[in-house]
Amino acid sequence: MTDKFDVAIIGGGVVGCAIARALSRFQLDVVVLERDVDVARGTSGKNSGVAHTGINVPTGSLKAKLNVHGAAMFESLCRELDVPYKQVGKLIVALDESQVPDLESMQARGLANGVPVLDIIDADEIKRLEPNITGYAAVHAPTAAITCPYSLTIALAESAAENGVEVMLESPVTAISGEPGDFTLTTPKGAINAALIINSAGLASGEVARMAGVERWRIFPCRGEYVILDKSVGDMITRMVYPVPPKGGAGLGIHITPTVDGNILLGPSTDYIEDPEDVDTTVDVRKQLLKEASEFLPTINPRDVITAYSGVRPKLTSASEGGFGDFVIEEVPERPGIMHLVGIESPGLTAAPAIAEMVAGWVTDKLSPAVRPDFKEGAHTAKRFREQSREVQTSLVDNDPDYGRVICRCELVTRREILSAIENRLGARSINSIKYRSRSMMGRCQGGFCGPRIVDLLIEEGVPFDELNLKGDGSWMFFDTSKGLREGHDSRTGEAVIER
Amino acid sequence: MSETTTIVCVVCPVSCAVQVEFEGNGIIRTDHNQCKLALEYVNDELFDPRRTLTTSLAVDGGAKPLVSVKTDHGIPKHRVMEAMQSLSGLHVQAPVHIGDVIVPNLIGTGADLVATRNVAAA
Amino acid sequence: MIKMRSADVAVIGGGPAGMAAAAAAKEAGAGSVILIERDEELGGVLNQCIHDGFGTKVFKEALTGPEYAAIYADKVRDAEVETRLEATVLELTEDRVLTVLSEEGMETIEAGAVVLAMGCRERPRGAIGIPGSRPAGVYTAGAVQNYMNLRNLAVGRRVVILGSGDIGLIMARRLTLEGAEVACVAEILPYPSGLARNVVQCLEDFNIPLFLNTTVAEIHGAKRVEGVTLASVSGMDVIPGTERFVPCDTLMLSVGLIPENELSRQANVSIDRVTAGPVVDDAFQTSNPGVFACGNVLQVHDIVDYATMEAEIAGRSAAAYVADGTLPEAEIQIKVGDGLRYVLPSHVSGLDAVNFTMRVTKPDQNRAIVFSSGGKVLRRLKQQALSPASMARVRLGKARFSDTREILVEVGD
Ligand SMILES: Cc1cc2nc3c(=O)[nH]c(=O)nc-3n(C[C@H](O)[C@H](O)[C@H](O)COP(=O)(O)OP(=O)(O)OC[C@H]3O[C@@H](n4cnc5c(N)ncnc54)[C@H](O)[C@@H]3O)c2cc1C
Ligand SMILES: Cc1cc2nc3c(=O)[nH]c(=O)nc-3n(C[C@H](O)[C@H](O)[C@H](O)COP(=O)(O)OP(=O)(O)OC[C@H]3O[C@@H](n4cnc5c(N)ncnc54)[C@H](O)[C@@H]3O)c2cc1C
Ligand code: SF4
Repeated sequence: MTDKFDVAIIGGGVVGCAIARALSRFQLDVVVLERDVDVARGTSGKNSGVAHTGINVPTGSLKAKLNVHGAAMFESLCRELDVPYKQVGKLIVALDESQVPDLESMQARGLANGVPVLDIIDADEIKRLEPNITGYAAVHAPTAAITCPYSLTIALAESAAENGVEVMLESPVTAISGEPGDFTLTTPKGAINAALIINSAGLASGEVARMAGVERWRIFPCRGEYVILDKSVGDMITRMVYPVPPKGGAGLGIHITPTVDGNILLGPSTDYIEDPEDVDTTVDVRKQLLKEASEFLPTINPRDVITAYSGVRPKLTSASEGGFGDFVIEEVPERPGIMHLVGIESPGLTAAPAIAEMVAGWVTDKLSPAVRPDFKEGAHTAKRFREQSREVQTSLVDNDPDYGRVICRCELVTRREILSAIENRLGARSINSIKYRSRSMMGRCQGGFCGPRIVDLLIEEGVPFDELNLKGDGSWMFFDTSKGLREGHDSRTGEAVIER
Repeated sequence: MSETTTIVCVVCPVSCAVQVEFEGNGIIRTDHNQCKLALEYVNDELFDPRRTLTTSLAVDGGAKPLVSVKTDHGIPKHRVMEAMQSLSGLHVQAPVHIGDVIVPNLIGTGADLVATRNVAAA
Repeated sequence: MIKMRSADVAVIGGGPAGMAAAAAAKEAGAGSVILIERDEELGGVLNQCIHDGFGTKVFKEALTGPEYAAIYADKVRDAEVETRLEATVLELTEDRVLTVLSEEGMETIEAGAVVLAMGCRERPRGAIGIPGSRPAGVYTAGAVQNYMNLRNLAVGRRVVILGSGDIGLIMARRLTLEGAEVACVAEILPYPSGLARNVVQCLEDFNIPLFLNTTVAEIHGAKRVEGVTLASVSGMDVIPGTERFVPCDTLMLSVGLIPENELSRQANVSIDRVTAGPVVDDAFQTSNPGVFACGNVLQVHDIVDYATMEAEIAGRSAAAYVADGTLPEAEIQIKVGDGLRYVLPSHVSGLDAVNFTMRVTKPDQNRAIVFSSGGKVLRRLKQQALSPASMARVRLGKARFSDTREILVEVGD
């Protein structure tokens, strides 16, 4: 198979998907090539989910510009795509007087970067805003917001697909050849032909650049682990609570972040690692997170941890160098036609809409496409039942009985939402794809109850049980039927046992 | 000469640690059992260990893919796996009712395999 | 449109506890009793417990789970309880208004009394924090049981079990019978957390090793589980150098059950920190009058018969509450003494005999459960063996409650 596209985007993270959606407003043939079984499986699915205001980035940097601009675009983008967005505000808390100068310099930098409002508040005001938090003083950033990073990435990809973008999953790019106007990208699913290439491969962007003969970037993976606390303690805080960032550290320090679903995140840690795909979680860090977060929030109880996860930052500076690395968004003169996005670490999620606008501008300058007249802006997926008022819920069920069957009880997800997730536009059918689209299996029982019911629906929708997988090839869910284990054949179909 | 031993009664979750005094092939007395169901079990466990086999069978044309079944008496413990093997490949036609005998005299043990659940026809 | 209706007694959850409570409420004279179950059939967890051992107390016979459930489903039908299947209670207010969602729409039910019988859920991987990667092949034992016994799906071929809870032990046997290989059971405590009965007939019968003081230190495999690292522990910490790799394609967790009390909290019912279930009196009334609790939502039971017995009292109490508008005060306080994790109920009226249920903190032998009041022993029940895995049940006759305000229960000599 050889397909000819105007633009090939490598990487289905929030950046690649935001670019794809921005380009789908034009009459262009665009393909997104993602190596994983679904979009948002990289860093974009595993972060704090914060739309940052722009306090923590050096004035004048590309990061600062795109952060502040992205933050300003964020709310309307989320509303368009029906993605959760809550402007809960943020406190950066000084534990004693010695940290007050840090607060002042952060405030000054933030205002210089264009953050609309930033106040410094005292201990009493901290108590008034967040009764469970103890601190000496704090920067209060009321415009800081939280979102659901994988929902946003998925919604961007599905909206792009709705508007004609082809999203190819399980399609890693392994080689790049050719010239601007006629590049060839090699994937296991065949060669892809494209006039322009966008390298938004996140942690692998350095490697993808090397495929195109550009050797200049080395990425240092730096892991951040989190634990998630149960919703029942979700009301311990209403705002994000950050420490004063550790000097010369690789991150913002361990913070306490409410999620749009009512849980609380503790994290992330900062550990430079060898393998960018090593998203393990560890006992030591789990203990460290609980300990450090307890300094601000003493009511944290280890019993309330429901699960843990980690994400990896694509750093352009090594552990020993420390310090700051700006976003790289560059077309290299000696190898034109390819836009490289390298080192898109925090606040890459926040900046994604602005990055997309910038990169789409590069494409339209080169190709001068016409605007797509029938661009469909909104989402086309089922309503998130749990977020609706009783009245809206009632009318949803009255019109569609599938909203009346609760499949996931912890997160209150209905059959309609699961079916909508199964029928997604990208054709992603892994169990995790259903999980991230519907939020089922993410609650306090982690799928113990709803897992079997979702498996039923997938089988009803035509996925054979022996093809069911958690996250793509090799991550099979069922070895055989119960009866088939002993009988040596599948008792449903009478066929021979599947060889694994 | 009588002997004494302790056998955990497995008939129900109480798991009484039953003390048994026995001689030859007869029990003289038992202690620490909460109920009489232990007597038959302990006797069997000493002289002829038996287990109730519970498992499931595939159902054809049913509203459910499986029907659960049990042996109506204990079968010799060492023949449990053999019994499972003998059921391999067996399919039951729906409808099935609790108590229906699915396999009489399972592998010659004298115990019948009976359904423990109702499965309606699809 | 939200439909509105009322009922004398509403029972939430159609497992063995809910079925027994509903039938008992109706038999005790409640006019309208509604039983709400979110699954497509009654029976709760019993439907997937196809092993035998249910009913030895009530029926003097070892029935299988589905058989035991069927008996109570018949009782519910014969008592003319209104049963709503595939209906989920979304909300319960303090003044006993239920919001129920089903394919027929949204409905509110104003209930004269409510019986909570929602059962419990399994503790998942995250809650116990096993480090390592997150491949496919990590399942809770209850999920494996559900797939295997109800859906004809086998999750793997070579299984390591973490935790010696009863469901895990039962599934060790079940998997072995069906032709899978159970490599071992690892338990972090120095004693099994499941019943002796299940250690004998599920592990020993099949020569499946049980490693005590052992945990899973790491899960291996990127896509599907490829093995686990087992390690010995001292207390809860891994002893360095004891790590060993065990290949397997499945890790099954049997690390405990947690009562399902989200609705109880909404209804402002006080929850006990130890049982994680509601605080109740001897009528099984919670801190919110007119709201009752029984079965696994109250405390994790190992014997369904006892869940049934307490549910029948809860159902009768609910009917009495509707008839009389109130129940006798339960002013005698029950204090938990040495050697016990909890005792239920926590306060009693003294008007009737009470069957107390409790769990001990650690295994022990030749001790006694002692009830006393102001230093005077009310009852001493010799126990040859005590185990945290088995719930102890001790009856105290009505006469013992005269002239007491407080009773201490402890493990003594
Ligand atoms: C711990 C942590 C916390 C963070 N918190 C925040 C925050 O709160 N707010 C914020 O704004 N930002 C935050 N960030 C930053 C943000 O998550 C990232 O900047 C953003 O997700 C980067 O998106 P991306 O699309 O560039 O990369 P990714 O999401 O990594 O996407 C890259 C994609 O490319 C695919 N790919 C790689 N190689 C190939 C190939 N050869 N062929 C095809 N596909 C390929 C990958 O599978 C992946 O899906 C955080 C990051 C971390 C690690
Ligand atoms: C693996 C295993 C093995 C066991 N083995 C034995 C044994 O051998 N012998 C023995 O005597 N006992 C045994 N038991 C114990 C016995 O099964 C339990 O004590 C008993 O099932 C508890 O009953 P329940 O009604 O409280 O809970 P459940 O059976 O869990 O029922 C609760 C019901 O409530 C419903 N529900 C919950 N929330 C809602 C809502 N919001 N709206 C509507 N419906 C709702 C659920 O769907 C469920 O059907 C075993 C238990 C397990 C798990
Ligand atoms: S003796 Fe009775 S109570 Fe004790 S375990 Fe056996 S059957 Fe159960």
